[in-house]
Amino acid sequence: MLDKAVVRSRVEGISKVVTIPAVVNRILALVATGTVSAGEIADEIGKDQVLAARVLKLVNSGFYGFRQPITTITHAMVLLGGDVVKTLVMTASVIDLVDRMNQLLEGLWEHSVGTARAAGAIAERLRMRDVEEIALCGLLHDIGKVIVGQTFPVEHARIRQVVAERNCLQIEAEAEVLGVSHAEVGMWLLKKWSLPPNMVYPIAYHHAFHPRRDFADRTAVVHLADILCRAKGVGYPGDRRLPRLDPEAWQVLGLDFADVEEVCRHLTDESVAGVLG
Amino acid sequence: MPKLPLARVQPGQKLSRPVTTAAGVVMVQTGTELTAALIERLRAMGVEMVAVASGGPGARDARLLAEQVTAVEARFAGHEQDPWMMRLKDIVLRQLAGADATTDA
Repeated sequence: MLDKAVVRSRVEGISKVVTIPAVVNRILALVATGTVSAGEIADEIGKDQVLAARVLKLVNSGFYGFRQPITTITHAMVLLGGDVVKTLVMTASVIDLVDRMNQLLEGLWEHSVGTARAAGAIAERLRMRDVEEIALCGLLHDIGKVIVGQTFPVEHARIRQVVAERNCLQIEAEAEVLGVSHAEVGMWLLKKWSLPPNMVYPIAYHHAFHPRRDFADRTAVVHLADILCRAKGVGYPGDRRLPRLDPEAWQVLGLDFADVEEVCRHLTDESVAGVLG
Repeated sequence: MPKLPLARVQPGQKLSRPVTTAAGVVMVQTGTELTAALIERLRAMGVEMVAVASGGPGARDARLLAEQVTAVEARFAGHEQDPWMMRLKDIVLRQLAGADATTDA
């Protein structure tokens, strides 16, 4: 098993290895000031045509359910909010998520989209604020698996082997082989990227819910969404098992089984097909 | 073709082996095409499993569904003592059967 500190420093080192385009750094700096307008950020994004195109592609992927196509970054900023666009910019620029996910683990992208859809649907039923942001947490909840696969190819192969041999959860194999989970790895990276805690926490703790931790409601949504997506067999999260639902998360959400049934009904292979894939 | 649970066979499939009583008396002959009414009658008689020929209309769907049900069972393995997880499993299985019914229609 690797030393945890070594794993962390290698994960954090990714931000140096993968060059973040200068424009992204400028955008992050702008967002950090907090006084900047949507138009100013849009102008910055617009300077990088590839980046702008990727952000718009993500926004129009069907994932956010806008009826009309969003054709300008400013429009996207207004509709989705600065934090979502910031996260989109980061993911679109640094990781070509779709390709990398499916190169690494066939079906991980579909699992991510399914979890995002389920998270969005649950948040909507609970009339939570910032449904899009919560859906995005669902989309990125397994980003740590991509990072593990890229950064630790030997361990990744061994994790796959352990899962295949024992038919266990991937997170159990990770604990044994790597000493840390994909959730922690994801957290380190997203923190390094300066994403806000309301995006980082639900991803960091989707396998380790605690009712008194910050953003417990969002974390509970992602935790449940992941399980529902797995239960329905949509996509492939890296194993064929189900984590147990945390009863405290269920309590925090205050849903009933009619809600679960409704969310599950829309969670199908067809519903995740064609989203950027 | 192995025997399938009666709940998983569909009208249009043909029996690949006769349905017999416990004493071996043939009730329905090999080759008989199953209808909804016949399936219902078999169920009423307490028949649980039947052997159907592969390749007939609906056979592929039935096999696919059987595979999906097996996959769901495997996924939920180890959660038998957890009532919440078992309720989720019921929902998933119900939706699986329901989706198949609508595909048929």
